[in-house]
Amino acid sequence: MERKDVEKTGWAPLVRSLFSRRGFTTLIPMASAASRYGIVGEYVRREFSMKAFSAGLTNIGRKRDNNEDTFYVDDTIGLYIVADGMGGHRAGEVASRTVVSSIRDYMDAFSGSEEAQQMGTGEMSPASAAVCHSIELANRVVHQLSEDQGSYKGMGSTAAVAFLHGDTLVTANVGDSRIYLVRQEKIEQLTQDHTLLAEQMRKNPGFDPHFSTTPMKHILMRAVGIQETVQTDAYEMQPLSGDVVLMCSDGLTDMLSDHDVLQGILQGGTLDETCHRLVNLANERGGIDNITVVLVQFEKEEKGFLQKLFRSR
Amino acid sequence: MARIILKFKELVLKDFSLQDGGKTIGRAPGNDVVLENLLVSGHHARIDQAGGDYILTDLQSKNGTYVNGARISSAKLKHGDQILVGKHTLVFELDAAQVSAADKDMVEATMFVPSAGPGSGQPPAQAVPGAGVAAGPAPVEPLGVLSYLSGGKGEYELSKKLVKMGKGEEADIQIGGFLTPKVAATISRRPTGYHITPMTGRVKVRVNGTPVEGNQRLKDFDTIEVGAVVLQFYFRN
Repeated sequence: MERKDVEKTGWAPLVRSLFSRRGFTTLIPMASAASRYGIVGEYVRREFSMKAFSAGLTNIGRKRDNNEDTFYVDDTIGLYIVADGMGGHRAGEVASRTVVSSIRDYMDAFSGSEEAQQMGTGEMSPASAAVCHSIELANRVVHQLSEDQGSYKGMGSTAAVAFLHGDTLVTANVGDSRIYLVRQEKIEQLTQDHTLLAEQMRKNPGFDPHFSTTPMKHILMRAVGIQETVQTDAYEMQPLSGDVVLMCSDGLTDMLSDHDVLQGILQGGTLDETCHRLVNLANERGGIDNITVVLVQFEKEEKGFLQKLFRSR
Repeated sequence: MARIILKFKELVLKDFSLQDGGKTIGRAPGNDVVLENLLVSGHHARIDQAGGDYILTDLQSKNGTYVNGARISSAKLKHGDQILVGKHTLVFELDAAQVSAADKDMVEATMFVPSAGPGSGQPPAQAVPGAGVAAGPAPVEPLGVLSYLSGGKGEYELSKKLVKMGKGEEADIQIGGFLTPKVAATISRRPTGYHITPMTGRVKVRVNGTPVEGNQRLKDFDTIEVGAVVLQFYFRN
């Protein structure tokens, strides 16, 4: 009964008017009014609400006695973390676990607080600011632990964090754990390594790493927990449906080139299978360090080509 | 304790202890090791302590720094290494205890280079690059600017990490038109530069007349068309 009323008063005259001579003159002002009052806008916003789903895997590798990597994935709040610890005895494990739990706790609180979500500064959106603050918190916690307990002295960790807030993906890092974007069969590193080698290459683009007799890429210029403060690099982008974000510790990228990583992802299968494939490949090539891979795939209503590749759900 | 022994030909000139951290080497006064020789650059090289290791870095000197005959940009020093700077040789030596410890530690462990100590008066952001290698300050990432060619006036500085273009209230650059969505395109500032991405298929985004798919990195003086708005991108120095 109600539907009939609607038909009479709402849609029917509009539909009929489409076919009348006055169709265009009626429809266009109505539609533009609708868009002005946010009706079209609402439709657009819904279309853009991005969903993320993920898989993660960590492996000790072939040369190390312990696994100092820690990762975290949470599709509910859209938070993904990879941390690669360093320090004697078991301190590296403690450092990376502490980094992950501190960041998780902070971002959990941010996601639950509407007030916090309003607080941005200039070029920093609230979400970016929160990610940077969460890493600063992790830095303080790890640093304090290392000061308080002799066996933890000098421990530290990398941090790579991806956070999906609304339509915006924040990517942030400290150290040499990386975040990549795979979009339309191309791979792009979304982070800069904070290593001696990478800094040297940035300052001097002609620099030939083969000149070096040092494993310069294992010398970190920044790390979480080593000093009282830490500087985080954060970037923002809007993911498209079908985009895949890969996060990893250097145990993966020491063994595989960007091209190898891309090929591993493009082979398809579920995200889980892809994580295993990449970790296995890094181990086949020697596995000199712990290997951690996190894959996050973004999806909205439109079908991207990568979704066809990942038929996981 | 680690030390370097300065030699000219076979003549031992001096002995520098590395106990209190790194050393700078160059012709300019103020270096820890001053070498009066025209083949030596003002700030030629430096040695930094990183954990238990010592890292030698050439500061992009004119005539180069050599370790055991090979030119290096940076090298982790081993006991007995011969560093050639101009016509002088510096021999790196560890004491016996350190030599045996270094032998055990052959795994490629991750290390951290500590930044300049307290009292350097610099905030950490500046102090960290100074810790290692830099000859001069780190390059500043150039700022991208959009200049309206049509559909608006003036310029827009791309200082935000993510700039949205569309009809929505949150859009930084307003794009009119009935079919324009809230966000038609975004420009994201990334380590590799500025990237433009169309967010829907409904509004064409063109760079220099070519439709963009996925994303495209912006170059100096690219022309961007989004709906009725035409902008020119350039880097401000």
